[in-house]
Amino acid sequence: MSSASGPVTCVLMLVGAGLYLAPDSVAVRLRAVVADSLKPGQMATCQLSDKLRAATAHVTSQSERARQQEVEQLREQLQAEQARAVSLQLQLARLADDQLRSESLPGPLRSLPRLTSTSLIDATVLGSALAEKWRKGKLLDRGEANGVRESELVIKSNRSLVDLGQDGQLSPEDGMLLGRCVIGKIERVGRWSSTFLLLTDAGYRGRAQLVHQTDTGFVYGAKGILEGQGESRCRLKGITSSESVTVGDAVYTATREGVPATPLYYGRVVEATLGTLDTEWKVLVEPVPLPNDLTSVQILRTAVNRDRLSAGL
Amino acid sequence: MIVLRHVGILLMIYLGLVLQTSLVPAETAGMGRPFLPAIVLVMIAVWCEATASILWSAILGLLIDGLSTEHLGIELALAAMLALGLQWMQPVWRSHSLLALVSMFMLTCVTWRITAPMTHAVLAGRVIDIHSVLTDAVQDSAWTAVIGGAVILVGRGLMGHGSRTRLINPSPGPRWQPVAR
Repeated sequence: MSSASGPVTCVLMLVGAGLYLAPDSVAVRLRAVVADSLKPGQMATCQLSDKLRAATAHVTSQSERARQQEVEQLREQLQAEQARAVSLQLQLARLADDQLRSESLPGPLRSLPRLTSTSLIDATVLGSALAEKWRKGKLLDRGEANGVRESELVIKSNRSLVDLGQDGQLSPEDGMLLGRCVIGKIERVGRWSSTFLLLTDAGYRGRAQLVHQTDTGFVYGAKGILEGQGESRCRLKGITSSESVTVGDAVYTATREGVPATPLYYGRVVEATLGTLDTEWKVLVEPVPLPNDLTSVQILRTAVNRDRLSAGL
Repeated sequence: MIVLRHVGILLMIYLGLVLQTSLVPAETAGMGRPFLPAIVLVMIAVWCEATASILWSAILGLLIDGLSTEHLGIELALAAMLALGLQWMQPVWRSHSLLALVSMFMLTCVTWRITAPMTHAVLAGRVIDIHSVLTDAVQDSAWTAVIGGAVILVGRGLMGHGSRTRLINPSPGPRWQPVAR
């Protein structure tokens, strides 16, 4: 170490002491000089930092977009797989029914196919603008004069439309599915299009059954009627006070004639109350949430089996 | 070469203060923050001879005085004393190993961050929370050591320290001369 270091430090400490005692004007001037001299560097640093942050944000948003696309693709894939699963379940149920029938019927009748057949077909929900044009006949190039016109029931209804009608062998009450879940049913069937009711629409009614999950598995519970109320939740009616209902119970379709034994999902119980003098539970069911743009659905079609008819001729 | 060295030191002081005032957050909610002038002070001590390093450190302290709202002169005197202390401790860091330099960053920072607020408080007759000063100083010194260590590693990487030359020339002896291995 240099021998001058000590004296230099002492001098500098004296300078420091002098500055400590200096008037405020000196401090103000020094602060202004220091601030002005550092300003260009600070501005350049901030600009550089902003550019780096913007570049990073750009990269991040790109990766976020790619991830969202991937999620969207996976969701579509899942829906397709769910639809396929339902289709296979229907097929399985039909085969099981056929087997049962063939075993229960006398010998000569065993080979007869079922009178009705159930199948799952894809349909497109028409957007409001397109549906309006359709109802006004603007989409039919031959026009009303030639007798080509959608049926009055469809035209006069203000319900939403799907692009299948009698030509697709639809009939009222056919279930409308999204994946494995029931989201509504066909209300009126026109020649080429049909109106439908969503679960939540007032006027929707469907047979439903509670399914309770226990430690040992699923247990079928009481049956009732699921009714839309024009709100986000539906009401399950007809569950007597002697039955058991728990919040969180699943609600499935109840089997009925013409529909295969495989139950389909409606939603889950979110509220179940029973007053002291009530004979029925007040059960509110939350259906599966629908996407913002409902464009593609499946219709559970029950139609007369042409093979059976031709076999009878 | 000497002029270049001093220009380099001036740029380093400027860069250190600019980064400290523009990128390092002023408030970190008890998480600590790097104190870059401590790194600059150690680097000045490493690069310059004793008297020059004390003078440059005093200039650094004066600039820090200009950035603070406290009375002038305290930071100048502290920086000069720290530079003198670093010269006294030269045998510790003259090997220029990463560990020795990082230790110097920590020691300089913790000393500076404890001494400065306490001196200001004592001279102004203020009450000071010693516990919080100590905590802040330790946290700041840890950050400073990390940043300083990273700077040394990057500098050595850029200068090819491992193969042919050293970024920091060990003293005593002619400075800024590549040392053949």
